[in-house]
Amino acid sequence: MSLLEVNGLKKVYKTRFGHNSVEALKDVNFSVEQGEYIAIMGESGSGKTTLLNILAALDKPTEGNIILEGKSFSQIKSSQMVEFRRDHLGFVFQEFNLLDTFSLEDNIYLPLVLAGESPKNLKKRLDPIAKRLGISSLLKKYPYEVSGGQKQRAAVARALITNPEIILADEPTGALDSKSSDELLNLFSEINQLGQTILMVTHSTKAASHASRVLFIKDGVVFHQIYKGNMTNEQMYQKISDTLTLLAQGGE
Amino acid sequence: MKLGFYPRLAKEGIRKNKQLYIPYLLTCACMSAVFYILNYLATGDLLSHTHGGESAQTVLALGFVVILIFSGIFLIYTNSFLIRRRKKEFGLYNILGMNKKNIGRILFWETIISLVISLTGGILAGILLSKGSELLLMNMMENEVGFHMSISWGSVLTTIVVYTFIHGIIFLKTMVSITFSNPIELVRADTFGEKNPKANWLLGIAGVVILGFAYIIAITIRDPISALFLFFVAVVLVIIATYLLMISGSVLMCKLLQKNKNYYYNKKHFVSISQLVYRMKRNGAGLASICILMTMVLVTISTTSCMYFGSRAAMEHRYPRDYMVQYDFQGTDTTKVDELRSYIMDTLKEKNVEYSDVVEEITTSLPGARLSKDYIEIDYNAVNGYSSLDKLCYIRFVSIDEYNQHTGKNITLKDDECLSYSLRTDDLGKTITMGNKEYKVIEIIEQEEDVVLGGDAVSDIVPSIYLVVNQMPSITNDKGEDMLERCWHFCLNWKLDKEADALLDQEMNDYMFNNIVPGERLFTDTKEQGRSDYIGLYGTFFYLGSLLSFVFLISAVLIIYYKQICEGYEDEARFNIMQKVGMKKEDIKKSINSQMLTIFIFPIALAVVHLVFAFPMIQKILLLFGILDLKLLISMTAISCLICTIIYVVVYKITSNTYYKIVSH
Ligand SMILES: Nc1ncnc2c1ncn2[C@@H]1O[C@H](COP(=O)(O)OP(=O)(O)OP(=O)(O)O)[C@@H](O)[C@H]1O
Ligand SMILES: [Mg+2]
Repeated sequence: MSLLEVNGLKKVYKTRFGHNSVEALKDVNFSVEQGEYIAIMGESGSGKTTLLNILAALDKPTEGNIILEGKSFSQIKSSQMVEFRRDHLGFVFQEFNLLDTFSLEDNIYLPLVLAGESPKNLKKRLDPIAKRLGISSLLKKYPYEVSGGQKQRAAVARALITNPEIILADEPTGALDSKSSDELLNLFSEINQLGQTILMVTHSTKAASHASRVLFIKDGVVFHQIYKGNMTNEQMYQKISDTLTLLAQGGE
Repeated sequence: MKLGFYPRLAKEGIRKNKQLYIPYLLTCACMSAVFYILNYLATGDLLSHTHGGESAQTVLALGFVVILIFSGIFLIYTNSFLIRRRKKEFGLYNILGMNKKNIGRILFWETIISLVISLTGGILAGILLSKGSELLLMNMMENEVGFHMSISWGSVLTTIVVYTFIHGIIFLKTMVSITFSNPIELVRADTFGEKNPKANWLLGIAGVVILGFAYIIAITIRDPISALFLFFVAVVLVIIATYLLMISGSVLMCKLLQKNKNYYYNKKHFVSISQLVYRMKRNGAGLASICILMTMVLVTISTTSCMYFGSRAAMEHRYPRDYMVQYDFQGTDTTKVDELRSYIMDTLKEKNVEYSDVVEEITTSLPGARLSKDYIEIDYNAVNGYSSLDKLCYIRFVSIDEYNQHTGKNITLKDDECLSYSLRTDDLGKTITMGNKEYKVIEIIEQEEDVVLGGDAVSDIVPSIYLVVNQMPSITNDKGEDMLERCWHFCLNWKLDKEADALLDQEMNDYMFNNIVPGERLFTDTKEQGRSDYIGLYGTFFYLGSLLSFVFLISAVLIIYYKQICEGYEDEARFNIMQKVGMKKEDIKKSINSQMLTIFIFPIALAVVHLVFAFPMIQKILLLFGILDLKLLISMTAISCLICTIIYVVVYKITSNTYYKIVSH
């Protein structure tokens, strides 16, 4: 059984008065195996964020179903959705979404504290993660005192600390310079090698080339996919850009 | 109607920020309405034509000066909240190519619009309510009024001038703050958090010391009149200390709570404490302002309500009978007293006036300085040397015969024994010495009515010690001069209406005043005439106190509301993120409640503590007004505290609901 199954997902946005509607997703089907590192690519407006929001249970699909570890999202009561999301999913956002009222340490603790974790376990759970992400010395600082790359690493730590089944990331490198992007991508590869499943939306071919599989979305469906297999990052990069060119031509 | 470009932008600006502008404009309107009403009553001719109305007008005039100063400070302060939220918009205009002069024009039109709206509303409300408040005030003063409606154009003009001036200052102040900031600062003005503040022990300690000092002043002032200046010093110190304590105290407390891991890393407190820490300084200042306003409300309303509800008792105290005569004379010859008595009795009989409860006594009194509990210095020069009022004291001798007659008791005293009653000063000990005379105090009289027959002993601020003795002493100074002052008190009840009362008093006065010689003094009083002084004046005080309390209260409410709204907008994005990482709606509610319990209880609690320490002072001031009823004062204070706390909690609940709606949408 796959870790995550997405079946016939459809999302129609209605405008406020119902006259117009936008079909952001038409019929999306794919599944994710444990330990996979998946990148989702597509043109602007193709529905990537919509898809990710639905996977994150932040939004409901018009039709279709998502099953995480055999449990269908539609079975979960809306009152329990927040807990479900907190316990099973981790998020990394393009704009970091760290809270300026908290130190980095407290930002990372936030989901645990909200889950009612005992205060004495917090430090124990943070230490190994902080070490791996190289932010141990920054923990007492506030978000406005650190760089963008450091902020994003803190955000990753916040996503990892609940041991989620899947990490969902929307354009995680979007606000970073190239050096910080590289560091973050290496970090993602590293944690993926340790067994963490990752699903990432990205515009960047370079970011996607780190993934073990790339899905291309177009016109509301999964149009194409590439497995990395034994390819190096460079070969993967080449293959992705070829596919993108092809897609762009094919769309005309 | 077509508006020009700038007026249109200004109108849009106000409309878009209506959540902030409406309460602000309402407050402006309320203040100008109250100002108009007070000005109207203080300068109108209704009051100046009623008996006791002049002193009422003086009190009301004091009231509108208070409102004037207060609304000036307060509106300038709250306007800065508004501008902080608007700065972003101005920054955008600036970046989009508008220069500061253009922004100034928008601001100018905004000022004009708010002024027109709030003044029109305020003055209209003021005019409509002025008749009602006239009736209410007259009712409190126990006077009659007709039902004609009148508008005082003078007061309208004064109100317009005053509030235009205040808005003008606000406009200039905003212009200055816009002129001296660059566009980037403007754009980020409302998102700029304070840097994580250091807990400032020094400020906290200074606050505690200053507050302690102010409290000591407040509870040790013995006499509020001579220490008026000191009293104001105490008030100013309390205000300063409140700000210091709230600012540094809230920082310290949050820091301590943050250190306590088990408390801090609890989902109920985690978010609220971090947010409190984040905007601590501003928070502290806001809380201090709320605290001071609540203290003002509490002090004003408990004092004036006590005056109003105690006014009847104070009047009865001052006027134990309907008609009172007091005649000061020298020597021991009492033939004049007999003449006056028979004149009064004859006149009453002749006019067929029913009378009853005739009481009279001759007190022999001695001004002195009470240097210790049982020693009175009687040397006039020495006494004058003790100019401080709190040593000065009258010894009033009453003969045991008069006392027995008056009370129906049958007590006999030896020559060196006395009964005593202390009015407005401590009771005597076992003995009392004055000059060469010493008495054993064999009983402290419990009922004030037994010896005190109203009159100047009651209305005077100098305390009196009554001594009931067997034989009038003779007390002379070194030169052998008689030091005693003698006074005949005579009073009775009659049932006359207001006019007849005044007429008869006047008629008898005309005769009696012609019959006294220099060196003697004669006073007459009737309760009917005193009533308008007491009930009228105290009613006015209560009326003014209620109006002022109302203004202070809505100001406190506005600050609470602004705090919640501004913080709501600041926290909106944060709660959005927190909801994404697993915060439930119930968690938001719990977090808000935790914030309330942690910090919002402080202002009202500290206000109550301030009130407790002001209590001795209030009691002394009320004493000057003849309100002796401690129970009444305690219950009025307790009721005021209770009501204010309830209002405070309700307002907080309602506004935190608004906050909740903003952050959770
Ligand atoms: N809340 C909404 N209401 C109505 N339409 C929406 C809403 N959100 C997204 N859309 C529409 O759905 C389509 C997909 O949007 P989505 O944000 O998923 O695109 P995207 O692939 O993430 O684009 P980008 O790469 O630019 O981030 C777009 O046409 C968008 O206009
Ligand atoms: Mg997107």
